[in-house]
Amino acid sequence: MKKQTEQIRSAAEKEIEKAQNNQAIENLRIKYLGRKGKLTRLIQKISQLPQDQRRETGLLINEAKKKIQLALTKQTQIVKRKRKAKITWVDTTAPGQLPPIGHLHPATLAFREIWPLFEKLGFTLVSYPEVEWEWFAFEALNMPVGHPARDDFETFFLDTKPDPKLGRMVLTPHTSSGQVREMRRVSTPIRMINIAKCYRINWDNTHIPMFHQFEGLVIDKNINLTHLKGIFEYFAKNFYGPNRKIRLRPSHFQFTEPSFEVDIDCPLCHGKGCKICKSGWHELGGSGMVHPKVLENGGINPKKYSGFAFGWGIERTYMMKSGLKLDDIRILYENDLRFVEQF
Amino acid sequence: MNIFVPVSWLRDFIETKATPKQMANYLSLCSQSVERIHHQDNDSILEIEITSNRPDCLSLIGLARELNAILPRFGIAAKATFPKTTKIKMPSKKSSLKIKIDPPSICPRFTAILIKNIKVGPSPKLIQERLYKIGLRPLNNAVDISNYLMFETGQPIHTFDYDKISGQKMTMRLSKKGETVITLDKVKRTMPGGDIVIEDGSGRLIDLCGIMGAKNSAISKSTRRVLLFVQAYNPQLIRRTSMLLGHRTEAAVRFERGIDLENIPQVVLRGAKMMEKLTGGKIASPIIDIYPEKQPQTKASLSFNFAQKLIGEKIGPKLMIKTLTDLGFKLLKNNFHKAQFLIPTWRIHDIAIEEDLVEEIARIYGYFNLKSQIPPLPSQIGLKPQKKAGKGKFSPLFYWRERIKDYLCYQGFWETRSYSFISKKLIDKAQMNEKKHLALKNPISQNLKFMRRSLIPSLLNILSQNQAQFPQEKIFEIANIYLPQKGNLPCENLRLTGLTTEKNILKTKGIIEGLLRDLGIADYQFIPKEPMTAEIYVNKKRLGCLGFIKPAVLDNFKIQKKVVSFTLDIDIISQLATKQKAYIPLAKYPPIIEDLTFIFPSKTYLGPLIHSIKAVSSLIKNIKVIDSFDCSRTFRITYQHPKRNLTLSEVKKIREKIIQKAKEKFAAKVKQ
Repeated sequence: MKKQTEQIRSAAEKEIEKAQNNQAIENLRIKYLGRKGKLTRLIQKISQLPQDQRRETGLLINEAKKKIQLALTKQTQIVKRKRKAKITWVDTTAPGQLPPIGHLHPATLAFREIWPLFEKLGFTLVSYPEVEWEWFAFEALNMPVGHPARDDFETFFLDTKPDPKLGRMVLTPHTSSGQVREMRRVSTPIRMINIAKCYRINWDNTHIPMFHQFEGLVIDKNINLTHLKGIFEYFAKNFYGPNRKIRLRPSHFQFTEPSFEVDIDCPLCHGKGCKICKSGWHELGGSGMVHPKVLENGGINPKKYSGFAFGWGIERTYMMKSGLKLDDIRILYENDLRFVEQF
Repeated sequence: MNIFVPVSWLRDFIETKATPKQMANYLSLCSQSVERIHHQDNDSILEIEITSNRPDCLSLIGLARELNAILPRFGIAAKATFPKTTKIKMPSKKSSLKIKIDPPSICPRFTAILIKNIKVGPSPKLIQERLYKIGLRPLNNAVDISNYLMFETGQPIHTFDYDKISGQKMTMRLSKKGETVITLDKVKRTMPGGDIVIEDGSGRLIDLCGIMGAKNSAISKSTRRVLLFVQAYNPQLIRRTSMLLGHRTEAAVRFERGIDLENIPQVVLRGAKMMEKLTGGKIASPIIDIYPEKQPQTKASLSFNFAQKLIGEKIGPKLMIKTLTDLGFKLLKNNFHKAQFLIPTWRIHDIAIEEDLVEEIARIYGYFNLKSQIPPLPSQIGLKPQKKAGKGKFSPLFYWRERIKDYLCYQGFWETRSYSFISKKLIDKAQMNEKKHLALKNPISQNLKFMRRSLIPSLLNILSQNQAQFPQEKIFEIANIYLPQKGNLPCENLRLTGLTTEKNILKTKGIIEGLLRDLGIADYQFIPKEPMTAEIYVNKKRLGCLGFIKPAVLDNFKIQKKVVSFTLDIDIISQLATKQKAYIPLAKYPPIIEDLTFIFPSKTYLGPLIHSIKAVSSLIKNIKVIDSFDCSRTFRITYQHPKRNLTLSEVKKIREKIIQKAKEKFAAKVKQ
């Protein structure tokens, strides 16, 4: 019986080694270890042996059973591993199965590129009313009654009762309306960025009746022109690229004195003038030192404090960076989803 | 306004070796912006944008004055050569013209001079060429003189055929609404009313003052006597008429920006002399000059230290004084610290305070010469306790707004942005009431008249217009809506509204729930309002709503699919949102999980049911709906004790309570 056990074990091991799939392995398990399996039958015969041999043979058969079981387990793993290794080619060029893809509007993308640059310099982000009193939109900014910007060819007025002190309700034509509100809220020192919608009566390829501006306001002791230049240079180099240059051009706004337009050099000719830019420069937006009357309206003493302000169109600033060539800017707010899809 | 300046003509008033390109560059850097240089017949023509505060620069003399101060700063010699004031011997006999100005305030200075025996013909070639270069068409010598001189001096001039003024009588007055006049361009213009006009002795209108003359009194080939007419008008009235008529002329722009009253007599004299020279006529009257209130002489003081402080550069007092005197300011007195100046007559509309003088000094000194530096950080940023903010939106609202956009973007939503104003038609289609909307008095068109009080109409419009290309869509907008308030500015409420054509509303609800959880808002509730909508609350605060758009509204927008809409109030959400996370010690004892199936009456709301099951015991950790068929719902309930193992009898007690509650409150039967 010893011999028989040994034969069964070695035959089983050999056969198991050759098994190539789970079914074959299972068949072998049944063949040797199943209820009527070869080894099982041998076990049943133990009782026929003389008493003194039973124990020794029992141990021997048990040993063989363990070995066969081990071989089965081992072979199962081998077969499993082999099956895994079988997938040796996959088409990585076939189209992926996309999750739903969302899109953000370019005005959002612009905001996200502009605001962090000012956040780093300790500016506070605010957003002041879009529907505003005439007083904050004009008087407070040194634009008295009769100023051309105040007539209804330029500014939207609401069909509501005027306030005896603050005048009519307007759709704010610039974010500058928030200047005096911020001065009254925080007094000094101020470092504000106000981003809001603005409205002007203008509608053509390059103008839309609603647009976004970002307004910067810095007020403290000893703020001067070199600081205003410093902020613009910082913004231009970080937003448009380290090789770009800015220039200040004299201009006129009622609420700043001195006033400027800020230009950035054309990326193609760097200020020399070329076919694309004509003059060598692109206009970024307006700026200047806050007018003393505006400071006074905000409750700040212009003898002690000075500051500067700038208000730029978000859409324009972003388009000039990203090179979005919109031949008609109105497409931004028409919501043709084929346009939205591109962002 | 842009003007075209031929450099050859400009050189009549300034002697310099500066090239056109240098002139253009330096003008842009220190004065008015030259947008382009055009080349024509060996001449360079500068296209210059003149800012509204500098009407004096709408003239060759004004620009020459600027160059005279600027060019030497760049090491280029320049000498201004302005026409000398020449005296003319005037005839003593007064003209027969009778003048009435009513009210006098409409015309601060009225001047005119009569020239007789003129012969109308073409102007000399030089004058014709120059007029062409600045974009005007030469007509005849008498009319060309007025345009030519306007361009040189900035002062608009008009010419009348004196014999066409009936009764030699002029009444300058404000028009009545509906009066008409045919202007020189042969267009019949109907007065809005309140426009400055001149009526002659026969009651005809012979001039639309400050904008364009009338045809009936114009110079023609047969004109023998010409009235050279040089005025200043009330600027606001001119602008108003010009804008209302949509007729913007060179004269109107100059009048509305402000005239140097002191310069008028000189212009009249030069005009008269040119008229004599070019037309062979002769001055036939002394100058008529009605000038009730002399233009005030104004002064401004400058502290050198203040200028240095504001500019941020140690510019010497000598240079400051020289800069201003080069620009025509007259030094009245000065000491070590400050100086006082007489403001030139052509700048009194623009210059009044010290800061104005600083601007003059800084721009001529050159902004490009200043250094650049980031202002030092203030001692405190945003730490100071702030006064209670009035209107406006503040941090951290913007952070949450952007986070919400990102979340939606990653859920496949597309961001759209529409105008804040919509049409009555759109409001009607959405079955809203236009009377509840804030309206514009002067909309750009009727399509953009009402300030939105919901984002849904715009979004439905987008869906409708794009449904052919994009049948399956998820879109959203975040924007202010404007809720009218009595006697105050409207409430500007920042809203998020999303639309989706996904039919399963629970998927959309899931997106909102995921969003709220991402924002750290957990204890929200959806409370059914109508059969197809729910409102979202946190405690007593209404966050927004969710539901199907009514089929009738969809029909109005011609939208084929069902549409689910949701709206969230970002102002409120930004107050509730938090980044804070709470740590609960991990459970050490295993939970007991079991399934319970109930049969409910139809249209039973699951939300309140789950809510009240959960309220039965704090040991219920979780309830999930795992199966749903007809009116039966299977819940998987997890029981867990944080500090010990639960016994089956404990669970049994809770289970019985659940069943009892479901029975009592929701008429549910347990399925065995």
